[in-house]
Amino acid sequence: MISAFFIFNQKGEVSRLPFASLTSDIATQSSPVPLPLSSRRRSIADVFRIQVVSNSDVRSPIITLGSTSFFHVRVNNLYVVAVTKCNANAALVFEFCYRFISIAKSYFGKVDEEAIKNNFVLIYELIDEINDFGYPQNSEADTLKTYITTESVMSTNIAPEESSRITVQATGATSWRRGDVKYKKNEAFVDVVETVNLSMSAKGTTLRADVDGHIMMRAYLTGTPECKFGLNDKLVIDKNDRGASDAVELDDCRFHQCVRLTEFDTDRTISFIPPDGEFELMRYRSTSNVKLPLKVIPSVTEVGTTQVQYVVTVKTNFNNKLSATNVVVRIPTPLNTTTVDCKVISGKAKYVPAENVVVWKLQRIQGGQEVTLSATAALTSTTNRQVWARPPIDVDFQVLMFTASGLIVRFLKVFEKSGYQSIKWVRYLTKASGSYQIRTSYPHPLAMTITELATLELVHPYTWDTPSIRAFFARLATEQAACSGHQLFFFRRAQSERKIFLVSGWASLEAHREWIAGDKNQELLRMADALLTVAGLVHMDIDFGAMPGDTKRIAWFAVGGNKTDEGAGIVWNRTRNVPSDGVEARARWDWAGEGKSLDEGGTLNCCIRAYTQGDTDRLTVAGV
Amino acid sequence: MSGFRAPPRKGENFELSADLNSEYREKRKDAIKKVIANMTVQKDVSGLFPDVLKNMQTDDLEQKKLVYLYLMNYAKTQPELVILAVNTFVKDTDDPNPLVRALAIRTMGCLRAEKIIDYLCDPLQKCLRDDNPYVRKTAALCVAKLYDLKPELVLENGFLETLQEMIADSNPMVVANTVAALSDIHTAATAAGTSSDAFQITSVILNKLLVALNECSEWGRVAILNALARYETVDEKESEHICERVVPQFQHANASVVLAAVKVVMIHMRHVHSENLTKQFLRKMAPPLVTLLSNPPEVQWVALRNINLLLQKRPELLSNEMRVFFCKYNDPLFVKVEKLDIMVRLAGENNVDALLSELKEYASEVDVDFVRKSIKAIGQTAIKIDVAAERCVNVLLELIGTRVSYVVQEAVVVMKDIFRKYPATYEGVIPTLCANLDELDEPEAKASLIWIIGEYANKIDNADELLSIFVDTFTEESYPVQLQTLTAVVKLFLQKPDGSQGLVQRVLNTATKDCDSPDVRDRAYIYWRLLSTDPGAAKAVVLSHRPPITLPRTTVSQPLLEELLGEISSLASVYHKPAETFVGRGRVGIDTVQRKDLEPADERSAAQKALQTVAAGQQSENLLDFADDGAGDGQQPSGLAATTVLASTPAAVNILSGTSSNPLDDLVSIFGSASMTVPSTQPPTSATPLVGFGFAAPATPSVLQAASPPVQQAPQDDLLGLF
Repeated sequence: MISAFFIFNQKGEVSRLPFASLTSDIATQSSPVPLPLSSRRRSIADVFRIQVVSNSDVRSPIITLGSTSFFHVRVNNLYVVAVTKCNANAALVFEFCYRFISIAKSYFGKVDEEAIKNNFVLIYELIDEINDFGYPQNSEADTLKTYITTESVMSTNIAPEESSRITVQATGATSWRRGDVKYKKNEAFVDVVETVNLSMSAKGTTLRADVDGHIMMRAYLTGTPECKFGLNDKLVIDKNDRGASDAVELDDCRFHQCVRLTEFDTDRTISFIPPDGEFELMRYRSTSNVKLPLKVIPSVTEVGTTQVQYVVTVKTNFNNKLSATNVVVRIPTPLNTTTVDCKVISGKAKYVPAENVVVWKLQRIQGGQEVTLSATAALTSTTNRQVWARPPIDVDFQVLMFTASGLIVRFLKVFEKSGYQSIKWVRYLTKASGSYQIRTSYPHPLAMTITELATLELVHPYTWDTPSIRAFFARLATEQAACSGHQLFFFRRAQSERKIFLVSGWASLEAHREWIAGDKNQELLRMADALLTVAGLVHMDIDFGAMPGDTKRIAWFAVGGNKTDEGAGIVWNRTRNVPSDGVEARARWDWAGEGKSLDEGGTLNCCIRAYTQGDTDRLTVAGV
Repeated sequence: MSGFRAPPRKGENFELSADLNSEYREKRKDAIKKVIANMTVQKDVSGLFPDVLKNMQTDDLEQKKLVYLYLMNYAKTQPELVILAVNTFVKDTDDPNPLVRALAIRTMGCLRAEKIIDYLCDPLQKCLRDDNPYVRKTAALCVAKLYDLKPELVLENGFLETLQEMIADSNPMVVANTVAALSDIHTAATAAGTSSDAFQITSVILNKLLVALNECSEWGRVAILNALARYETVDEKESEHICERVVPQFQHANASVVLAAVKVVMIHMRHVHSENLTKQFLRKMAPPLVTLLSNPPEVQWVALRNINLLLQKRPELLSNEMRVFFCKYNDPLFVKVEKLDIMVRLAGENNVDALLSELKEYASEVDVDFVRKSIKAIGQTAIKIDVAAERCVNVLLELIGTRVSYVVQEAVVVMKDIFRKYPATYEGVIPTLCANLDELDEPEAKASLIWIIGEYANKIDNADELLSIFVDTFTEESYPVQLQTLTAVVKLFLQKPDGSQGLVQRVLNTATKDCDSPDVRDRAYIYWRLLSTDPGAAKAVVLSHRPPITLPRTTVSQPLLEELLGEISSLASVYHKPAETFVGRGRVGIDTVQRKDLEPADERSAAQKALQTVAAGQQSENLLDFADDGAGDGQQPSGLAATTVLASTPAAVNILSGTSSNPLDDLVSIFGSASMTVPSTQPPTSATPLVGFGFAAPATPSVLQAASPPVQQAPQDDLLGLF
């Protein structure tokens, strides 16, 4: 089984020696050349350090080198490592590692480098006790504390009878409980804690909603009490014998080792002799009829390439006598966010640049209430857009006296031979932490945009300065930008003031076609009929998002192509078309994009150059 | 002032030595703690052995433990001095305090010094019959320790018989440890080659185990369940009985207990013939398996790997539960990848839409590996579910539209498989794929696209133009791409002879003259000869009908699957590889795995055979040779690779088995026989289409395999592929 047990910090230090070299195989059959024991052991520690601790790309919690397998679990920057040399029981090894962590927690309060270093003697003792020859032994923290303590124990001070009693109890059928527990007041507290896991798609459909329930019990009861525990009348524990639709259905439940599993299996009664103090009586899972306490409705809009607008509404979905507390909504923003302007009526919201999230904290939301945040994130324009994983919006909260699964504790009966009365308390709590996730829809982060270039000719006698023309372009710029999510650039051709060049981006050709066919555009076209004609239109696979926002002038070239772009009446000079005359001679361009034209029949190789210095040909549009 | 002074001795050890001999108890104890602290950080404190030893006899239990700890670490380096400790040990085993007795017997077993062992037997004898269960359970494990050191002592002293009696002990933990010790001895004995009857489980023992199962601690339950898994039932009734008694353990909080119970039920269910009962067991097994996913990620991962195996055997097990396997944003990567695999296994007509929208979502994540696997999963879904193929293709097209290099390349590779499965269905996609020709830089993606072009050469107007791009750069391409180009050009020529003659001439010329891969050259020569002697035969060979592909239901061979299911929750089941490939004293190469793969017999004989190999390989290589691990490691996927390599292993095996058959005979027969139509009588021993060039050919570890051995359909392709 487990051959050795190590604890490492991030540098791979802490215990160079295994905390426990539990079996012989690590020390002996390791090398053909007999090495001093110490150096051989160190090398095992070193191997782990090289392979896992200093390797940034570890893709498996188990690694096998030769015939030695390292199982590791991380906790607070520590690695808890178990080493085996056989076909070990992997689930058991990991369960054991986590058990060790929970025992350490219960002994030291926390598990970190400092706690380990300060308590190594105790840890040696503990590991020695909970694992013998690689086989896990009694690992109930409560019982361990009766004979492994932080103070030194004189063996003469404990009567042998006392330790006999301890040991009999530690190995007995109820190894989790001492027999001599006495309380003046017999009380039992039951806490039903439900964690809701939600994964909701951007469209608002629930992809997955389930409840992880824990029933924690704190028993302060005298003697060896026999407890019986009852849940909802309508409770259906086996999904397959379905009851009424409003019944509470548990998909599965798991019990503390004190619960008699055979009895549960035959007649569904939960009976047990509880450990003294706090323990987890039961864990369950429910996926049907999950009542989601909070509803989150996000709306995310990208405005051009420099702004993202958020409107996030949180609605409570429970009785107005209850309230959700400690609500924390985390709204991720793109990586190139510079500032975020948040507006909230309740709670506090602020942007945390280190994590790229807007954190919105609310002390309390009453049942039936609804709160909204609106925020605008300003983005820097970057030429190489970093890949962004689009994390979902995440909500943490707590709702007291509410269970998402609908589970209710009906009774807890305590029988003890002395026949005392006991007081029982029940509390319910539904919470979420890190797993209540609502996905948001953004344009595909990996998608490159395409560039649209249109030549518009104003009908005589209109010029750019004509008010009706201005008004038309203002409306076009607003509406198209709202549809495509990209800003529109307008340029004028120096020698002919009636020629206007429109440059903008689209997610894809289809996206533009959809817009062209759409009602809004048709209306705009009707308006445009008297004002201008579309002289040419081309789409290129050039990333519009990368074009500088402060472009003052552009030049466009096209080379090649055997077929004519007929149909749309496009008139382009194939070899050379410089919308802004002579610029090339005057200045070096600041950005250039090359790509093929995407329109049917066209096989042009196109190039756009953008100039951000010198005179401007850019036309500004009111209202944008 | 004496002028007579010993040379100044300094250093921490010297000071510690003084403290260890101090007259004050507290000071001595502190010194011991410091010694242990130094030991932990690898400072050499072995020189203090005699000083520490002096502090062994004490009433302070903590101090005693510390001294014992020190002894365990240094006993081997100071064998002469250890003998001094024996007296105290033996005395301690008579201590009135059971904790002291247990501590002494536990530590003695861990000292691993020859001299001590001889003194261990008497106290052990006594402790095995101690009144206190705590001492007995410790002593039981001590027998296993002793067996590890000196098996003959265990046999001579009759400890085995004592242990066997102890299975009837009234205390459940003693029973559990006894079972663990006996199993340990049994394994050690079997590994050493001696046929062992150390732990024969009889029906009497069985009943005792079943009783103890409900009473003992979680770890004890695992030990007992493991023993139950080994039991050979006498009749169906007994198998049913065991399953029924074990099923309640599914509800245990400890994941290892749940998995151990699953293992026992899976093993004994083999003998249960009642359909109803089997269904009932499986129905009870499903929810606990899903619940395992609420454990910490490492445990989840172990569970997922095992669920994967279980689904290969029982695909219906979790049929309605696909949603619980959806990846969470913050799942670690290793969990996500496993979930993907299981999602595809659970995909069906009713849930394919949800699956596809999930997979599309994953394909836009950041991690390249995960994205690629997600795209692969889309392809697998297309091949698995006919009616969903079109939706899958649409999703793939959308992904190609993102124009992210690795997304496009993976999608092209996946499209190739879809074309194989649904020939002549999605030809409309071809222009989109060809438009991305320039973006492909990975050999597999290039080869896939070339295969597609070759396959549909008669439908693509400018196929010659496209292929000539690759012919131009022929010598710069990697071999898989060269092989594909060669085949595709020949296909083009056979379908559209006019106009492509020059091209085929050019590619054959380049391939035979300027290419340094013998595979490419040989293939070019064969084509050349075929084309020049009998174009009809060439057509029959190159354009022959391809066997359909399906998603293999299992990733491991049937006997191996059965064996792995018998080892659920072990490392072997996590790696999906037999234990002999990563433990034991001799390494077992790929050929052993392969032999096992082909083994028609039942899993027992397979296991036996493997064990023999292990025994035989004992001298061959030593293990845990971290220093010189590199050289002999070629075939043994080690470390991180061990998990990732898995997928490719079957393919590697296939390739090996392919080349191992004698290709020459077949070649002769091809050229010897005048008519090349269908020499279906030839039985090429290998049955793997992956190597055949006319197929999905880029010989990569594609998960897809031909559904049926292609012996009948296209032996020629296979044969040519062998070169």
